[in-house]
Order: sequence, then C-alpha cells, then structure tokens
Amino acid sequence: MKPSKITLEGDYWDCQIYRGRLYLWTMEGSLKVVDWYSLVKSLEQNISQHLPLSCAFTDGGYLYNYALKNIFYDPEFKKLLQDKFLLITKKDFILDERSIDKYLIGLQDNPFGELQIDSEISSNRVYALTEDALLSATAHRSKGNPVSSKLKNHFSINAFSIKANNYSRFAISAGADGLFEFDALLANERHVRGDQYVKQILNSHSSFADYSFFSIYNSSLVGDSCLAYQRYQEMSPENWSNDIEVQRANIKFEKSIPEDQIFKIKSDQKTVSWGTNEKLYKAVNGGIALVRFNNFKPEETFSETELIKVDSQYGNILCARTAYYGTIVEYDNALVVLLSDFTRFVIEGPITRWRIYPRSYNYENHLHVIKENCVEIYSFNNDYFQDQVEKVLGISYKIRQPFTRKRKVITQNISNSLKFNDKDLRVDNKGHIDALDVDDLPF
Amino acid sequence: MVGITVTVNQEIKYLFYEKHRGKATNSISVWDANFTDELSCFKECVNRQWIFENNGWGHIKISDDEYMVLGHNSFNPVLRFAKFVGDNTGLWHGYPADFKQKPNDKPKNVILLRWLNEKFISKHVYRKIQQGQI
Repeated sequence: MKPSKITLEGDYWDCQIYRGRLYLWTMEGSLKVVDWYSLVKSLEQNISQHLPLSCAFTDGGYLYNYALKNIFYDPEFKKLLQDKFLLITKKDFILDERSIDKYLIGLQDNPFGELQIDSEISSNRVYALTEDALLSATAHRSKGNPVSSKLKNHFSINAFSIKANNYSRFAISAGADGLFEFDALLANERHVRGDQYVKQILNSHSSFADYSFFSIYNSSLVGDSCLAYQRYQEMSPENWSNDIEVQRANIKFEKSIPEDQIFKIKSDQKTVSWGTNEKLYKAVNGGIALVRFNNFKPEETFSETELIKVDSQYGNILCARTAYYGTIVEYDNALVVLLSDFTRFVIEGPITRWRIYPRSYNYENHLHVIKENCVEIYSFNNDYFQDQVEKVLGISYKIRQPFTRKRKVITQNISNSLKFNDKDLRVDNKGHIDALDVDDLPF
Repeated sequence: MVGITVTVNQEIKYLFYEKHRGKATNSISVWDANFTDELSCFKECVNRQWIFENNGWGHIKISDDEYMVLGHNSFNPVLRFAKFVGDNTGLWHGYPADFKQKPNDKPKNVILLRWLNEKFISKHVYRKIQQGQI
C-alpha cells in the first residue's frame, strides 16, 4: 500500500511533531509552530475522508487498538479500510507557506540561535544538539512563545546525533569520543550534579544510536557497531526508594556486545548495522540480516540470524532507523523504506533531513522528509494488517490491552510518585490519558 | 613540526607538514592531493575568510555537490574537505578532515553558513557534515 502524503512548502531545516503541534525550523532562523490537527482537518473535503485522514496523520495508533483487532480478520472490513486509505493516497495535499501560516500557533526566533545538529522533544522540553552543547527549552507552552527562549545548557559536547527513549534518557553519538547517555529527568532536578546525569557508555566510535528497550544499539559508519547492553535491576521491596537518583541508577550498563557476536556473519566488507527495540539489522550482500533481541531474558538474548533479500543498492548507507511500519535506510541519494508487508518505497534525494516518531502515540506511522523547498509528511498505513509477532521488517507493536482496575491504579501511582514522563505517550490528542503499557515500565 | 614552509602573504606562512604526507593511520589523515592543490585549498580558505579563531576549512569544488578527493586515513578512504590549523606566529598547516570520525574536525556553523550562502554546499551537505555522514 502506498503512503499518503502532505507537502508543506518552505525552506526548512528541522522538524518535530509533539502533542498536536508541528515544529518547523526555517533556514532564516525562525521556528514555526503549527496546529497540526487543524491543518489536517482543513484537508477534509468530505466526510468519507475523515477516517483515513485522521488515522493517517493525527491518530496513527488508533488502528492498532486492541478492540479493532478482530475487525481486520474480516477481509471485507480490511478491504473497506484499505480502500479508504486509497482515497487519500491518490490525492496530492500541497500547502504553500501562506496556507500553513493560517494554522500557526506561534512564530518566533529559533531559540537555539543556530541551525542545530539534531533535536528531540521529550516531557514538554525541546532539546537541541548544537555545535558546542546540549541545550533545552520548555516546549508546548500555552502562553507567549510556544517554546521558551530561556535556555538550559546541560553540558558541553560536540557530537553527531541524539536519540531519546520513553524514559527521558538520551543516547548521544559523539564520533570517536564515543557514546554518551544523558538522563533528562535527573538533569532537570536542581540538586543533581552533571556527572550523575551524563555518562560515557562506550568509548568506541558512534555515528548514530537508538534504544533497544534499556539497551542502546550503537551504529558506526567507520568502525564496528555494537550493542551497549543495559538492564534494569529491580529493587526489592525492602530496598525500595522514592529517591529519583536511586531509581534511575537501577538501569545499569553491563557490557558491550560487538555486532559480529550478534549477527554471526563474517565479512571482509564493512557494513552498517542498526537496531531499535527487538529488531537488530545489518546490511549484508544482497539484503539485510535480522536478529531479534530480548532485553528481559538473559538466556535468550539473541535469536538466530534471519536473512531478508533486498535486491537494490543506492550507494553507501548513511543512517538507518526502524519504525513499526518498516525500517528506513538513508543512502547517499535516496531514502528507502522497507515496509513490513515486504514492499518498498523509495524517496529520491537530495534529502536534508528525515524523522520518524515510533515512540509517540499518534504519529508512529509518520515519516517526515525535509527537502530543498518543502517538508513531505508521509503516513504509512500498511502495518495495521500485519502479524506483529512474526513480522521481520519493523518493530513489533505490542497491542495495548485494556487495563484491569488494579493495573491502572499501579500505573497511576507510579507516574504520580516517580515523575515518570513519556514522550508524547500518556496523553492522546483529546487530552485524555491513554493506555500505558505497564510491561514497558522500568519500575 | 617538520616540513617545507612557503609564504602566503606578509602575515601567513603555510607548512606542508610531513606527518600528513606519510603513512595514514586511524587518526592521522594524509593528503592525496598534490602540493599545489593543498596550497590552493588553503589560499582559498584564507582569501574567502573561512576561518574561525585559529582554525580554517577548505575544499576544492568540482561541480554541484562534488568535491575533489583530498586525502584518506585508515578508516575513511575518501576525504573531501580540509582543516587548517594556525598558531600565534601565523604558521598554518592542514590535513584532510575526517568528519565521520572526529566531531572536532567539523567546520563551525558560521563557516558552513558561508559555504551554504556562497553556494559551495547545499542544505543536505550541510546537515551531512554536521552529523558526520560525509
């Protein structure tokens, strides 16, 4: 199934989407914050477009819903839904800058004062990796500028990329200086010292990294990639502490596992590997190798290697990441999306930047691609119909079952007492608290 | 520092540093460009003021998004940009910069912006340099 697409014209440098707001950094040094739901709503020409447009662009997680699971077993329902998506994939939604400005929540100077190297939004703060430091500012404000101009300088670093997980931790890739982990929750506590909230995890080379549960898959474009294996060590009831520093220290680095040991593939040629959650991939001759990773069972950490045929090459791999709908590989001049239904979607370059949001609730099906004169917002809707356990391309979606009463109470207690903050996870676009997956909680 | 020194102008001398003409290692990049190209790359850096404090950067552009290969190291067989380092006496030397490996080799934003505005690089090359992908 082809993706749907909204094209926003303009000269952009970076973008983020968070809690119903689209953040667009322009090349002229400004930050536009757009009311994303109103913009998408404006594209509806008739009621029959409402369902596919909202599922595609504003409620990406809706069709993964536990209650809808049985509906997709019925081929007629499935076809009906696919036809609905087809309605919007055939349309070109293109907005020029004036049209976009109708939905502006705010327009301000880029608070970071430069074209940042990378950015993330987590727990209502926008983080920017600049050429000298990791900075942050309050985001999603309701009064004044949407992003505060008051910056917090967390620490000095010259690095390549940052990646946040659901627990307000950031993996920071700093090339030959190694891989670092930054704990945003601790960093925002006034009494916590710098050496407690930023730690060097690896001293081997790091180009980009992503979280595989508590662990971090460290990808290198020049050396060997590896998994920084970290585990959560449960606190026994007698050692239970409400002290945030004690709780956060329970995720501990154990060892670095080289890619050769994970994939068990010997090759003279250096190829890139990458991983998110349970899916670890490595480019090999004629395709990619997959190993499934389990962070919670030390005796079954890695599966056997599976080989997936991918029959085309687009030059050198520069970066790769994985979403639910598939794994996305950036080559010198193209972005290739290998979809969970085994189809492939190619976006020709040059590409300024691209982003996915697998850790959000409502935008997990998005792919944002910034080009020379626009940002293209793709929505992939192939994955709702896939077997989430068996699939080989893309992260497996853990279907969130409705809470039992007991679970809900436990979860609320945890989130209240520990200031546990998800990146866009806890509140749906209507402001309701949505289902937390308690199995994913570190506590 | 051992090498041959040439005078660029009254204030600036350039050293063809022997270390960057020898054997490449993981951390030492060596020039594949000849001495003439190395010097012209540095002169362009000086003339166009692609300098920030005591560091300068340069390249030799062939066509749109295509740059001459200037050197290599053991990790990276193709290095297309150069970094130049000066001291307080006005003596400079340079080497092929490895952005993939060393974040500190990357040009400062102020230089990248100049390259962008002067159309020496495009937006995607800017971002790839920043993220160590070139």
